[in-house]
Amino acid sequence: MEEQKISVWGSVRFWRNTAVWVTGFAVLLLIWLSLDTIPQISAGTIEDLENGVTKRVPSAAVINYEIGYELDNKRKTEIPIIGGKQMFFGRNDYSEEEATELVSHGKMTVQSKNCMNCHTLLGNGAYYAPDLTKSWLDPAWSETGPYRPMTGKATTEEAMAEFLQHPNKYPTHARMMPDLGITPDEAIAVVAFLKHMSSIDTNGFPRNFNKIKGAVNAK
Amino acid sequence: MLSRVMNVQYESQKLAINYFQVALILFGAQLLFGLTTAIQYLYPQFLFGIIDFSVGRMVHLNAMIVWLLYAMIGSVYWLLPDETGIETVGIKIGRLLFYILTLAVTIVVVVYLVVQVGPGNAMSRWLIHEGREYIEAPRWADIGIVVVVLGFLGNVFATAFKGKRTGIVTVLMIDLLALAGLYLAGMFYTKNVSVDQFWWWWVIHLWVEATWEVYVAAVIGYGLIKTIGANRKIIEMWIWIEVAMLFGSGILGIGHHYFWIGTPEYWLEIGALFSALEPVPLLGMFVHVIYDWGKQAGKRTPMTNTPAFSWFVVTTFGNFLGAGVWGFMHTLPQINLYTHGTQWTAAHGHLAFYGAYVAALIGMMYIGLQGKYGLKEMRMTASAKWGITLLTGGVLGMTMALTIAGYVQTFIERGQWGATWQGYFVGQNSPWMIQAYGWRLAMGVVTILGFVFLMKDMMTIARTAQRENLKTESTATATA
Amino acid sequence: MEYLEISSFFTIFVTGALVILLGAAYVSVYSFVKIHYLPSWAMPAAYIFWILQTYSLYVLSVHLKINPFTQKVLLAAMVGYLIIPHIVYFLVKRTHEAVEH
Ligand code: HEM
Ligand code: HEM
Ligand SMILES: [Fe+2]
Repeated sequence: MEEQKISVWGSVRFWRNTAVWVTGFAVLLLIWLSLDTIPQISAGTIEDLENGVTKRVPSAAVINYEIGYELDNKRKTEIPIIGGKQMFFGRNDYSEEEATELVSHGKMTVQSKNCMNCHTLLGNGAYYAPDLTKSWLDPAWSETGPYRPMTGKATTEEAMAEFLQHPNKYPTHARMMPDLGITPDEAIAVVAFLKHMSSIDTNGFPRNFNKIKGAVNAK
Repeated sequence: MLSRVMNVQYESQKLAINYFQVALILFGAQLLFGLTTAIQYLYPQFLFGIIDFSVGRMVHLNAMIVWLLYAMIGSVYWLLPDETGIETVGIKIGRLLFYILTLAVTIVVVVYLVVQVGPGNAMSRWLIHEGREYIEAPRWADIGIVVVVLGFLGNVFATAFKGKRTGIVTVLMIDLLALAGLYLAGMFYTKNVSVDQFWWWWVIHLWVEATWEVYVAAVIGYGLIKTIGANRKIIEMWIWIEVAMLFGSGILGIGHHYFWIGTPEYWLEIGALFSALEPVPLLGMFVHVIYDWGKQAGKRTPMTNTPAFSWFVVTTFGNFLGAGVWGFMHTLPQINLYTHGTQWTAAHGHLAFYGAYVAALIGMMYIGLQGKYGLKEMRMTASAKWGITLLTGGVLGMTMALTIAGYVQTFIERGQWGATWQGYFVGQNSPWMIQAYGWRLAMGVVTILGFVFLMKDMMTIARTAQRENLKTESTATATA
Repeated sequence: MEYLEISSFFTIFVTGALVILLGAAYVSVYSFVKIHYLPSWAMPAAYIFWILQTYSLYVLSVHLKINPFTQKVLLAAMVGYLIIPHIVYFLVKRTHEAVEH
């Protein structure tokens, strides 16, 4: 076969260079966007909460506050609204450090107990059980919902903590949650984690949540 | 007569066969635990408190990830001497690492099944599991994996620098380096669930929709050269074109996982744009294989390994359907807002993993089998046909069932009930949903049957092929 | 983001799948004709597939309540898609030619 002039389209070098440039560009753009995103999703501070500064991911101290989920007319999606102070297991004065540790303990428990392999968190995980993203705000746990009377507790947090420790005492469906050996401390921490998660601005996921009768009504 | 001893001259290829063997065992485990979890969807009491859904699912997913990685490492050990023309450098270490990895995987699985859950502290994460879907491996195992993979990469790089460095090997070197590096993004604890998932997707998405895709593009390139004698230069050119298209769309396509986890709104546009482009390279691959196939049919040169080639055809269709079509159907944010985290996702996940990776790697295993016994030609046997048909049909059937389930779930739970706790169960109790779960289970059983045929075939096809080859040889000498 | 009608869901999924499948049909028929696997009179079918695909994408975008600007971008993308197989085929042919002389 004689040596001949190969068109650029038939040149391995041309395509290799194209691949390198395209990939390099995509990687740089991803890194740049990540550098912008990470600060935006880092937790806010307790001062932000006190001064009404909205953060996509508020400080863990948000457990001291009432949380709502309402339609924002400009963005045309539901967004979390942080309201006035609210008791959480009889207190509303968790310091930033205390709350952060509590929520982190909750997250560690959620990981250790493998919640994500039955439920979804922020919509990611398994589909065997309900999504937990806004479970704190779910009408089922509210004053008018069925779960408080079922567990005999007066508040959402106590009802949730009780359920988590003894899920097989409260079968809500044929598909029961197993007893994962969650201790009282861990249960409180998990509820704190769930309450904090419900305050994250998820661009309106889950959709329609506030349309259902009996859902959230915080100011 | 079929010799029991392996017919391969390279230690590297013997090691590849070992990797394939463990991969197949883990594939079996994956299917078994898929079956238990699918049964639990219909009969929640099944194994309740013994192997709960969460435990079975974790094993289902981890067995899958690990066996695909085993098959990927195996395929590289297989093609490396072929490509470079030399024995893999450091193969003794490679073998040692194989035993270490296999021991570690065994321990991890036993701990998953026996210990299952621990208290909510760092110790559980280090010793039991990490509780993050797909990358649940406990931290000690993470570190072990990194060490083993570094050793593997060392072997690949050393061999490539010493021997002939072909285009296929070059792409694999860079790609494997990126693939391994990405794993580090999943190896730390953070208190912030949004930050957690942000990095989690760097591992999951940038694996399956970027680095793994490029890996299979390169390996299928090798496979086409082997099975239908495709032209190396064209293949290498196409691999680079594929790299450009796959990385160009897939890397920023990660945005489709950053719609709803707390990340800023600009990801809605970026994710929509780039992930909508992701089917394009899959289409390109599809067209290219059709083109080569057409050319090959024209030439009437014999195909040297029909089972392998058939699996490569399944992979181009499967990748295109599972990742391209099923991926696109739910990737635009307007609709993903309703489908996110429903059975839709599961439908897509099954067909995409099967089409893109399972099929391609089984094809490579058939190439390994052919080489193992030094066969010039290997044809489809009856079991090979049953295997490919039942496995593919079973997974397609499961995907159809889950697609119906996903549609009903989206409609009832998301559309009518607003994704509340009660809405979830109203959806799950719908007769449509229950029937779909029934079909998924039935099709899962079909899939397992296909696996049984595949295993039988892998154990016997070489003998059949040798018998056939002997027969043709003797008729040839008789007529001569 | 606009609220979707739940009665739109079915159309959305079907047209979403059709966009890709008809896209594949267009490209496949185009390629098959080019490599003489199909007779050349089949070529119009390829373009009919493209037209149906464009229509599917239009219906999809209406049901997704995508804003008018994005709708225009999508239709522009469809023109791009009309051209892509020609370019891809040109590349395949050139790359093959470069080697197979
Ligand atoms: C016997 C056959 C199989 C059965 C019965 C089965 C069943 C299941 C079940 C019940 C789940 C849990 C879904 C949920 O969380 O609701 C699941 C998840 C999954 N399976 Fe399978 N499976 C089978 C085979 C496979 C195969 C062959 C693959 C691909 C290689 C696969 C890949 C996956 C993936 C990726 C997920 C996670 C899906 C997601 O989170 O979206 N499975 N499977
Ligand atoms: C071989 C390639 C691919 C594989 C193996 C794959 C696999 C998966 C899996 C397993 C998930 C579920 C993750 C979870 O558990 O939450 C997923 C999610 C997703 N994939 Fe893919 N995928 C591939 C390609 C694609 C492509 C090309 C697209 C788009 C065109 C796509 C779009 C999506 C979307 C939008 C989600 C998120 C679903 C949700 O919101 O729940 N995927 N993929
Ligand atoms: Fe993705």
